[in-house]
Amino acid sequence: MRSKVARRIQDETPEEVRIFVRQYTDIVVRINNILQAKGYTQKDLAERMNKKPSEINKWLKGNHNLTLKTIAKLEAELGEPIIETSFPPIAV
Amino acid sequence: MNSFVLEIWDDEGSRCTFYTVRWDGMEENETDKFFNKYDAIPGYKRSVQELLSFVLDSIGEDHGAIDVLFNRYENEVVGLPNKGKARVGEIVFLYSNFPLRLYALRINNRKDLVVLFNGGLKTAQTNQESKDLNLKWIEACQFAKRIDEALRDKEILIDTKNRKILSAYNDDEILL
Repeated sequence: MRSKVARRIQDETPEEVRIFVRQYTDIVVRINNILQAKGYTQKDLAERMNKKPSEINKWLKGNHNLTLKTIAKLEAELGEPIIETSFPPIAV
Repeated sequence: MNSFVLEIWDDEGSRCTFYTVRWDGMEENETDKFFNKYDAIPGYKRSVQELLSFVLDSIGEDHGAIDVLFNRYENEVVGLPNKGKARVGEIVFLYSNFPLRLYALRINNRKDLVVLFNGGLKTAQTNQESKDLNLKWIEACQFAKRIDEALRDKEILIDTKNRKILSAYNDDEILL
């Protein structure tokens, strides 16, 4: 069962909002998993990237600031993929 | 504290079952009250939709109530959405300026059982200073304490196989 209120709001939610939230959360969980696995702190990461910790913090906070450019920089520094773009065949 | 009913709010996700609380004798549960209230305010509609998707999609369906998504501890309860401080660092990532808070309790720190309470508008740095939120936070902590106590005293039991909370007295309704 699902709350009727939750179902109504979910039905009214634009698909793009749900896609954004899910993908954003996935990326964030992935970044955290990599940081934990490698034992990096924000300070370590900043030092490795020759940036101020506040700058790293700025990249990763807020809900619209994590750009593809930022993700690419993080991927390069962390040495692990953060997003993968392998797709199933397009349905026609 | 008055009696309340602990009841399922959503069990359709593949990773987590959500419970809520309803004051005994009232029709509407606390989590529905929260979502109904802020969904009706045009300025918060989008935030409500994002928060609901975070709860049902990201936690309920994709990840479960994992540590990284449940780390905004405020006494007995967690404020959702998470602020996202990684345990190993101080990475702040998600919704850092999000206007709403919904209080939650992870049952026995499990990833698959969460109780959602009410919440409100975060208008200041702390809960105590956020007029709208403070009472809801105190109330959520009281609900959470009572639920923790019921677990400790085995008034309620965890059915791990079915991701459910059961009354130890085999009652259909869990009244605490």
